[in-house]
Order: sequence, then C-alpha cells, then structure tokens
Amino acid sequence: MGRRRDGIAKVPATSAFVADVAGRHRAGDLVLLDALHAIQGRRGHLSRRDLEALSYHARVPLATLHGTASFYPNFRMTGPAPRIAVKVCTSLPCRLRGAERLLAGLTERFAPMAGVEVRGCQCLGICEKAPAVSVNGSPRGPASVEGVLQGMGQGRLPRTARPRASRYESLARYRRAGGYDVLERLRRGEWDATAIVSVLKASGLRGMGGAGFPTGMKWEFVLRESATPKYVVCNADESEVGTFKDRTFLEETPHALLEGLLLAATAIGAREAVLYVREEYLTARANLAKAIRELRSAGLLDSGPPTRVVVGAGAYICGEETAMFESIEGKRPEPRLRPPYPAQVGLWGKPTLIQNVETLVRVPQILRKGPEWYRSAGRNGASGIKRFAVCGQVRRPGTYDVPLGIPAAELLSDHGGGMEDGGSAKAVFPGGLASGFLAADQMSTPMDFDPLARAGVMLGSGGVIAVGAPVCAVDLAENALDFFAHESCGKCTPCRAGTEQLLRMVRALRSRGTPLDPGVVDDLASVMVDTSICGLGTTAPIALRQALQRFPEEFEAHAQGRCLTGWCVR
Amino acid sequence: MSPSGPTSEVRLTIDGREAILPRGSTVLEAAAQLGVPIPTLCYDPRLPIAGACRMCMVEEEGTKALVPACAREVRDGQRISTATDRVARARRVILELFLADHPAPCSKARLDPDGCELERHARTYGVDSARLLATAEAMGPDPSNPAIVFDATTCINCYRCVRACDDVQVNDVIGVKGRGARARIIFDLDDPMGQSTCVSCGECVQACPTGALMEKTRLAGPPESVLDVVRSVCPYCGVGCLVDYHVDRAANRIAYATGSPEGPANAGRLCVKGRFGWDYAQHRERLRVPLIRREGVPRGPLDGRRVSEVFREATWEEALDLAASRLRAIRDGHGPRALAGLSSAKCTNEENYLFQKIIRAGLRTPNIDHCTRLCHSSSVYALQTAIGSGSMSNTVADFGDADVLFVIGSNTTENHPVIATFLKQAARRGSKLIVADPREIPLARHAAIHLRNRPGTDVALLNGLIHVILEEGLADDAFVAARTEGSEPLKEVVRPYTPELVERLAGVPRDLLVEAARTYGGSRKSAILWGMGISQHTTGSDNSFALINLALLTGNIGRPGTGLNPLRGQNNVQGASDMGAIPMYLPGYARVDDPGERARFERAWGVPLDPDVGLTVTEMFEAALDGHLKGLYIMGENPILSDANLLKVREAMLRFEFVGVQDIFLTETAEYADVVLPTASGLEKLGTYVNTDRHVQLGRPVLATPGEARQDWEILIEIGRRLGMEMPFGSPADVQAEIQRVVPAYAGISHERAGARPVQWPCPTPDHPGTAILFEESFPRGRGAFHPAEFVPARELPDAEFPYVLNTGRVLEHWHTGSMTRRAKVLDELRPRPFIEVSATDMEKEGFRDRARVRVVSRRGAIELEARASGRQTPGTVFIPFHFVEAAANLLTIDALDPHAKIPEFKFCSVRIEPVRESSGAGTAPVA
Repeated sequence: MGRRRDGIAKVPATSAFVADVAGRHRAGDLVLLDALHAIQGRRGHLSRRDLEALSYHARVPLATLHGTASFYPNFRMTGPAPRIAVKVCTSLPCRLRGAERLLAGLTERFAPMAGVEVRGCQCLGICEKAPAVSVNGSPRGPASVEGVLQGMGQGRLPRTARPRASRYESLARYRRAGGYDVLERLRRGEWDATAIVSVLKASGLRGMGGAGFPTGMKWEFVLRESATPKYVVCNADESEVGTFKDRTFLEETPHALLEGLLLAATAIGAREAVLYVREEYLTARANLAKAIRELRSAGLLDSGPPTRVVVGAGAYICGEETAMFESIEGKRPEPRLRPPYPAQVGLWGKPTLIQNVETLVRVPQILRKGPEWYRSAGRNGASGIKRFAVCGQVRRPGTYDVPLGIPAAELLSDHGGGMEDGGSAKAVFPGGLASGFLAADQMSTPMDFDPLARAGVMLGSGGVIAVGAPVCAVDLAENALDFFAHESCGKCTPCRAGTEQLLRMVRALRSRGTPLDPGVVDDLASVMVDTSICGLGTTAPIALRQALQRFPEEFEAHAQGRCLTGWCVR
Repeated sequence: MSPSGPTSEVRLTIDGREAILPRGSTVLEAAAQLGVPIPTLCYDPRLPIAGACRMCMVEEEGTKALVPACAREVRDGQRISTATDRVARARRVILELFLADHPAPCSKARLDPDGCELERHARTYGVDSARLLATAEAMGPDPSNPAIVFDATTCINCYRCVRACDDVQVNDVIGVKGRGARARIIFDLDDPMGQSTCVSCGECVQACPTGALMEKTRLAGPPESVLDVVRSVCPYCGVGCLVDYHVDRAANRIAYATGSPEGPANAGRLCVKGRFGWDYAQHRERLRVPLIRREGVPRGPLDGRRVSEVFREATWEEALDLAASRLRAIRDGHGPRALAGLSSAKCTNEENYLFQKIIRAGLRTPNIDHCTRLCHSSSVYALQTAIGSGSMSNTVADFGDADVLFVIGSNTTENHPVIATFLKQAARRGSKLIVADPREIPLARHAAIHLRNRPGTDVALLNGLIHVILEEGLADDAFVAARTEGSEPLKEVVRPYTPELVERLAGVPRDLLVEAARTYGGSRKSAILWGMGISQHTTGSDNSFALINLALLTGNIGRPGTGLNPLRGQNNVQGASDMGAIPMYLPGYARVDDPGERARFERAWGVPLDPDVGLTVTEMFEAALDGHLKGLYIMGENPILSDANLLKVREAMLRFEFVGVQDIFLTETAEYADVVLPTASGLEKLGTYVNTDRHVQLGRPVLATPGEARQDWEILIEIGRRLGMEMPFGSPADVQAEIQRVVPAYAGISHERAGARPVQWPCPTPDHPGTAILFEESFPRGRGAFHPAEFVPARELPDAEFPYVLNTGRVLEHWHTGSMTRRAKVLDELRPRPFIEVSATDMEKEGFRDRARVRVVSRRGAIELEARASGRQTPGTVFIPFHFVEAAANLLTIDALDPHAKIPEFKFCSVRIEPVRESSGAGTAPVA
C-alpha cells in the first residue's frame, strides 16, 4: 500500500478522526464494519480520501476496504450523501401491500427535488407494518406517499437514524422474575457445562434460526474442541423476508437474550461473546445497549468474557453463519465451504458456538423451568415453543408465541386474524421467503420441523407470509428471485449466475411473453440445489419451482401476454 | 496437515477404482492419480483452494449434495462417482452458466484455437449456452497498465487473480467489489489498473484462465501454436527465478514469459522485471559488430558524438588480435600486475571461470574482481572469517518455516521481489517479521516490529539486541559451548549497549528493541536475512559480524527456519564468486595465499600463479590513478555508473593505456574502451548460473544472437588462445566439466543434471542430492568465531553545509546501471525518470514542493533531478536510486571503504539540496 503507479510511497492526508478509527481497528477495539460505520456516520459516505487514510493507518489493503464496503448496500461509496434518503422495501410482504405503487409514487414526487434520493431496497424487518420505508436510516410503516410528504413538509423526517419507543423489560423486572439466577449459579459453580448440555438435550431445543440443529449437541461439539480461544456468536442479523420475531426479543426482552448469551459464553469458556445485529433494528440495538449498560452497572459483566456488538450493513447473506464470521473478520461476507464446521473452525478460525436470538432466549427459561416444561409444550408430537412472525395479507400481522406443531391454518386464523379479504390463502411461506410455500391444500400441516419438511417446505426462520388468492404466481416467483439475486454474494457460480438467469427468464416471461422452458428451469434449479455452497443458492429456486408446479396455467397465460389473476395488470 | 504414523494413508474409490493417497489430499488429487478427468476453473495448484466455481462437483456416497473435488479431503472408505447423470448435469449447467456470461471467443481464444480454459471445457463436454439468456455485459478493456490489459467482459469471476495477487504475491491490490451477478474485479479503490498500487508482477495474468488479464505483448503476438517454451534463468537479481519464455523461434521474438513452477526459488512466481523486462535483448542499440576506437580519438565518453565518430567497425580477427596484443604488450612491458580484469555477475559460471583463468593463468595477474565487491564483499568477508563460508546458509523455500524472520538492510520487495513474497506469506501465516531499516520500506507494513534505526547505526542496534538477549538469558549456552569460540569478549563489548544507550545512538525506542530481542532470541527458528543496507558501509564487515554474533549466540543456525542469509544481488554473483572472480580466492574459495591450494591450481592449469591477493575493484581505480595499473579487461561490467565517487572513476579510466570491454550495449564504460567486443545477452546463451541460495541452474538460449555478436565464452577462448593458452573447450558443458574437476563443491553438478533440475552446492558427487542447509554439524572453519564490534559512526556525517544523509539503492523496475532495464519498454515506461525521495518536512524546510527540480550536491559532485515527497524517509535523510545515467547517484557517493572488504559506503554520505529555478538542461555537472 501507499505505492502508486509512479512508485512513490505517500502518507495520505489523514484527519484525526480517521486516524483514531484506524488505530482502534488495529488495536482490535473496532472490527472493520465498526470502523466503516463510524466513518460513514461522521461523513455521510465512505470517501476515497478517508478510505486511503484508513487503509494506510489500519494496514488494511485498499481493495479489501472497497471490496468489503461495496458488498453492503448500506455503505455509500460515493458522496455527498443526500439530505433525505428514502428506501422503499420491495420484498414480498411489502409488495403484497403496495410497495410497487409506493416506490413509483415517491420516485415521481421526489425525483425533481435536489438532495433527495428514493430507491428500492430489500426487507427492512418490519413486515407487520408493510409497506415499509426507511427515511434517513429510520424504518417506519405502514407508509404512504402522502405520509412521507407530510412528514417532510412538517420537518418531522428524522435527520439521522433514531430508535423509537417500545416495550422494554428492565433488568430489575427481569431479575424479579428470576432472571440471571441461572447465570449466577453457573458462575458460582453450582451448575456446570456438562449439566447444562444434558438439560438442553433433554428439552429437545433446536436452533430457531432456520436449520433446527439440536442445541445441546451443538454446545457439546464446541465444548469438546481442544483449540482455544473459543467464541460465542449470537446471530441477530434477522434478514429473512417476512421475519421479525428476533427483533421483538431484542426490543422487548433483551435481558433474556443476554442471559442466554452469557450462559453460553461462560459454559464453553468463550474469550468473547459477539452479537451481530442488523443495522435496521435501531430500537432493538438501542434497547440492547441499554440492557448491557444496566448489566454493567449492576456488576453482572465483571466476571465472564466481554461482549461485543457488531452492526451489520444490510446484507442478507450475513445471516449465514460462516458469512457472518467473515463479516466480523472484516472480509467480504461470503459463506465458507463446510467442512470444517463452526464448532471446529469458526470466528477467527477458532471453535465457535453460533446461535439464533430465539434459541438463546429459550436457554435460561429451560434451565430455570426444567427440560420437561419445554419438551411438553408442543402439539402434534412436536416439542417446544416457537415465536412466529406473521405477516402478508392477514388481518393481524405480528409475533405470536405458540406451541410448535400448531397447524398452519390455525396460526393464521386464530392468531393472524385470517386473511384480509376473508378468503383463503393461496400460498403460505412458513419460514420466510426461502422456505418455500404451503399451498391451499396443505394448510393443516403442523408448523414443526419434520412435518413441514415432509410437505416439501421448511420451518425456517418462523417468518410466516400469507399470500392471498389475487396474487399472481409469476409475480410471486419473480419477487422471490429478485430478492435472492439481489442478495447472492456471488461466490459460487450456481447461485451467482443461476439466480440471475432464472430472474431474467421470469422477467422475460412477464415483459415479453417468452415462455419458460420447464426442462431448463428444472436443470438450473436442480443444479443450484445440488452445487451451491450455502442455503441461499439452494433455496433461491424453490418458490419458482413450486409456483410452476402448482400454478402452471398462470405461467402459460403470461406466455400469451395475460395474467390470470389480474394482479399483474392492476 | 502433517501426515504421520500408520494412518497417514487413505484408501478410497473413484468410479469403482481404488486410490491410495496421503491423508490431507483432495479428491481431485486422487482423481488425477487414477487419470479420472475432472474439469476445474477456479482451481490452480499454486493458489489456496476456493472451491467456488463448482465446476469439479462429484458425487460422494452418503452426502446429500454434490461435493467439490478440489476442496474435498479424502477419507477412508470414501466412494466417489464422477460418471453419473447427476454429475454430468451439474457440469453441463455450470458450463452453460459460465458461457452465457462470457463473450465468445475471448481474447485468449483468438490466439489459441483450443480456446481459453472455459472454452476448452465447453468443447470437451459439448456444451454451449444456447438454452440460456446471454448475461455477458460488455465493458471496455482497461489498458492503463503498461504491460497488462484487463478485459472485464471476459472475466468469469473465478478470482484466481485475486488469490494470485493477495495470497501468492501478497500485494493485496486486486479485490472484488459488489456482489452477486454484479460482483467485479477491482484494483484498489476500483481504480484503473495502471493508476493503482499494482506493481505489475503479472502473477494475475499467469493465473487467469481466460483472456481477462493478458500481457500486451502476447495480444500483439503470434498464435499460441507457433510458440516454443524455453526454460531459462531470469537475467536480473539473485533470486534466480526460473522462467518459461514463450518464444516464436521463426520470428526470433518472445511473446510472453511465465514463472516456472519448478523454479526452486520462485515456485512459478516472477516480478515485473522477470516477466516483462526481456525486450532489452532486442533493443536497437545492441552491439552487432566489434568496434575499435578510431586513431587519434582520445579515450573518453561519447559526450554527444555519434558512435561512428569515436569508433570504427572491425572484423572479429582484428578486434581480438588487437585486444590480445595490447594486453600482452602491457604484461610484457610493465609486468603482469599492471593488468586487471573485471568479470561479471551477469555472465555464466563457465564464462566467469574462463575469464578469471585468462586473467590469472594467461595474463598472470592476481588483479581479478567483479561487482560483488560493491554489494556483499563485506558480508562474505565476515562470514568467511567467522564461520568459513560466505553464502546463504539456508534456502528460500526454508523461509516459510521460520517462526521469526529478521530482515535488516534489505528493501526486499523491490530488490528481491519474489523472495519478499515468501516473507509476506510467512508473516500472514503468523511468522513474526522484524524489519530493521531507516526507511519505511514496503515490507515494514507486513512487519510485527519495525526497528527504524538511524542510518549507519546497525552495530549499535545489533549490539543492543545481543545485550538484551544476554540480560534475559535467551542465549543458547549449549550451542555456544559446543559450536563457537570467543563468546567472553563479545559479552564484554556489548555490556554497555543498554537499550537506553541504543535508543540514544540509533533512535530506536528501548521497548521496541527489547521486544525485538525477545522475539528473535525467544524463538528456536529465527532466520536473519540481509541486504546492502548492512554491507555497503565502512562498517560493513562489522555489521555482518554483529549479525553472525546474534545467530551464533542464540544457536539460530544449522537448522531449518534459521540461518544467516545475505540476499545476493545479481543473478550470478554467487557463481562468479564461486568461480574465483575475486582477488582473494581461486575457484571454489581456495585461498590464493594458501600455498597448497595455489599449487593445486598451478598443477591443473600448468602455469605458476601470483602468490599474492590482487586488487579489488575499488583499489584498481586508485592504482590506475597512481599509474600502477595500465590495462583493464572488462567483461559485462559498468563501473562508470556503479562505483562510488564516479568522477574519480572516470578520471581513472582515462589513465589506462588500454581498456578492452565486452558487453551487449555500448555502456557508459564501453564508451571509454579501445576495443569493444559485442556479446550475447543472457537470453541468447547456454550456461549455468548460481542463485542466492546456491542453486546451480541451467540457462538456455531463447533468442538468436544479433549481428556478429558472439557468446562471451567463445570470445574468451579466442583471447585465451591468443595469449598462448590451451583452450580445449567446445561448449560450456566442457568448461563445466573442468569446473567439476577443480571445485569439489561442484563435482557432482554436470550440465545435464543442472538442466534437469537445479542442484544446490555443495554437491560433491553425481549421486549427492545437494545441500539445502549448511552447517548442520559444524562450520567449515570448525567452531564459529564471535567477532565483537564497537559502534563507529559513518565516515561523512551531515553538517551545516551538507545537512542530509544520502542513501542510495535500487527501485523495483530497474536494475543496476539500467543498461538492460532502461532499454526494456515496460520497465522504462513504469519508471522513466530519476528522482530523489525527500520527507515532506524537509521539503517544506528547503522551500520546494513535490515534483520540483532540485540540485543535490555532495563534496564530490552534483546532480539535478526531480524531488518526490516520500512517506518512506525520516526528516534529515534522502534516497536516490542509482540506475539513472542522467542523474547518476554515484557522482555523489563517497568512496570511503570498509577496511577489510574494500566496499564503498554507498549507503551513507552527506548532501545538500537546492531547488532549481529553471531547468538547466544538463542532468549532471561537476562541483563548481
């Protein structure tokens, strides 16, 4: 570094601020993402000048800085930043509630204004408030063109990202309910890691991030590793379309999560506990920070490993565990090949226990109430409790803690309030956009890992998206592919080129009536499933495949320039 | 992963056939063993495995998805299938996706009818992209790099270039921006390649499977089908990279060059000079016919005159007769000691052997030397004295094994770029790199510790390290007792060199010194590497002695990952020294003043030899000025630019009665000659070269010799015969056979053997494997001897009149006096002008800005050149590369010598800097 074409090393002009950030990064106080956030927070964008200074003083190659920062949609590589930046979520739950018109309307009204930027974005994580927008980094919804304009007219638009008020369980309150008792017992040696593992195993708790791996077994794997140091990472980068359950834990009961995290860190003897939270979760981040402050002043962080919060920058793939490690390590967040698995080679190449927010929340509950409490909570042969985030075209979108195994139809009607139009759902995604959908004849399927898998879908993240009858299956498939093509990291060919290829094919069908060749789609989809490195590539083609299989007539009609449901010609 | 024990082998089956491989191998390697074809794209055996293109997916029994053969480790009982429909479908679809995103044909395919790697796979598997939508996006090529074109359109995102740049060369220039289908290769902050920090090593080009990164010369060149591949040795630095030249024999033109994976010191890597700096050989200024100075034209430089005004063309007979008769006349008239020869570290072993033999046995003079005097003579002197052998103790391949690498006085990334890649890789893998250098050299950015000592304070710094090591009990007492002598005086000498004193003397913070001492002394695998920052001082020998003391005291020698490693400068400086082209030693380091050794050579050569040690390079010019030396025979050296205090050298050149020069160009030195003999360049000759880690490697002719130019060895045979010597050599191999007879360390190294695979001397017999690591059991002199040294300041310290310390050295793109590199198009384009590096603080103080023209004045001379604001310099110090004739740094340097090795203090003299208001035109001028 520092060597230009003419070969003369230069010390770049450096502000005291960037020099300080660079120094803190080199010292390990800030991970690279923190450093980039700090600079963008101060300057509005990541300028060449600041990146050159950061590179020189932090000894991070320029190409690493540009390559890493440009991966994340939330970093702005060119400036100046607009005075007002409006992002409109175009992901499925918002699209179902008019995001397309909202984006077009805002673009039309704002386009002539200087210093205002309007663009589409992917899921903002407030799907219950669809259609969602983010104004200068503050997500809000349901949004309308008029609402945003009014806000601007009255000067009420936030200048910077700021949290909103929410329910919050204080430390005092959490402790009154027995919170942190288990942690203190562990620290006093009244519990030990082996005992905790057996309780977790007995409870039947499985990972709630999507893969459903048995939690006790995961802890045991990490415990068994002899390499040190070890790390615990909490995956709070909830970015799956239609999923916002972890946000509510983070906002409302962050102490429950922190106790689970500290239990895990203490049990496995971690050097550090890392919470990776998505940037859009402003309120969650604020409340989490508040909870950590409370813990610190109560002296509860005096013993045990330090806790670090890393804030993402809008990349869905960071929710993939190995991509998350890369992200924390300051590299482009591309998933790693497995094996080795995180339990052996995780964060910083060391044994790592990585768990979803909800999983960690359940741990102290189970340790307090006993494994039977959790195991017996399910229905239809399932064990446990699950928080579902219900959204889409239902009357009462929101989060619901229900026994695992509840039939999909019951969840939608009894909790979600049924479909808006009073009809029945055309498709229900049980666990986010990647999970595939249940068709109308599958609504009695228990919402549990194995029954859903048998139905050809996944419990996934527990983000339930209900799609009503008027929605066109072709549009649904295109929307899903648009998301995955946008979020593909590009590392492996089937995902990078496969998502793009399928998206272009569906677009060609919708725009020009070019028929889809089912043989080609099947080849592409099968090979994506068979050869992609991570779950993004393997799940990306599911929605299209199912739509083609369930609603072939809608695709055929589009090839003749018609939309059977009328959804596409609204 | 280190396989060991009974479980170190794994048995698996591929398509029903059994393979047995070491644990840790991959399925791809197993398939290769069985001859089962598996297509790959992002895989390159020289790069870390990415496993990302998914071209090599195969079926593994018991695994749900397909697995990447390149990344999948073999397991016992594993059953792999490559011939199933599922695998065939995956291959087909992955290829379709690549092809849909790739324009056809790409630039590489236009040169090669077989296509690029992707297109070859497509042909093999009969796949096209007709079923898919074209996603290739046309982007204009980036031609901004002088040597390389980047064509993003044909890039297939395999990222081999990224790994080549970041993981192999560790230059970290290439990255990937964006994501998904919009992910693209970038240079730095998405800059044009030519404006990035790219050092044009071309590793990315060598790694690219398509035409996305291509040599400009190759794009202009003939189709691949007419190219031959000739393996030879790079003509530049001492790393001794093996290069595969891709040459059009019919047109006598090199199309491009690649690093040979079999090169022991380069493992397929090259730097900008090796990869792109070969066209000098076909420069229009190559000498094609012998030249004789015209009657009545006094000796001296051309000074603007045409060559034909000063020289006339001659026949070989006439030129050879004249050279031989003049040399003979001086020998017979003034005695043999009135003659001297300068041999060349650019010439082969065979040529150096013949040259010194002619000087010693033909002209009967002991005055033979070459440019080793100017680079590592002090290192060699100290090593010979303290342990009995002057070469690198360990090998380049061994540096990766070291836990601690202590690099001192070596700007490795610019002077030994390919060795630097191994150091940077080691640092990245976790070896501790300690750099000691007054400048913020590029390697310092990879270092755990940078000891930025003041120029000329190395002995103080090293004594300080030894002081701390002794204080903290980090010395290896057992080694000291068993293998060394004289440790007590050392302890006495270093006692006062406390960290506090060293901080005052050398300017290195005491804590950093202590940390470095603990790091080096606390490891059992600490290696020392050094360059001219150590040797080119009046205290050069003492500097080296101090390094030897450090290694001996901690027992860090004689084992893998340790050692004393002077990085040699020229591609055959080791060989030229081995061949006895130095006044102290006959071939094979047989001491001239050892009667027994001398007698051995007198018998072999059939003539009596002068029993005294002859003159060194630097002493030769003194002797000429004194009138003692009358004739000089120079083979491929350019002392007019390379020696210190040039005005004095130029004056001395005028005093000779006869100067004969053989070279490939009319160099600044050849301009002074009476006879100039045109010779073959390194790219045109056969012969062996010895690289810095003692590998004897065979160079092969790549190009035809221009005009009437002849091989140096052929010329030497003609001269030798005219001096009455027997010259029974029909080829360089015959010369090598004589070398094998008289140099025991070379006895086992024939041309045939060196040509098949480089051999490391000592290699005493034809079946000896060669020696990677020296001194495992003992030192050649028995015990290693400590030579304590006291700190002595440099000879010419700055003062009010000359307030700046001038350091000189090389830059990446140029070589020595520039006679080759300044005639290489890419290299000269990359670095066309001389410059002086000045700290921003000093610029402000002296009242000029970046790129201002300045006059630099020392007590000996003055030059004018461009000033550059440089982050590498500390205030009070400046740096000038010495390659540029138009602003020759050595007009300024001091010819104060190290008392033992006679090496000048190139790294330290005092200058002042004055802004130049108007360009005065002339680059150089004597002191007014």
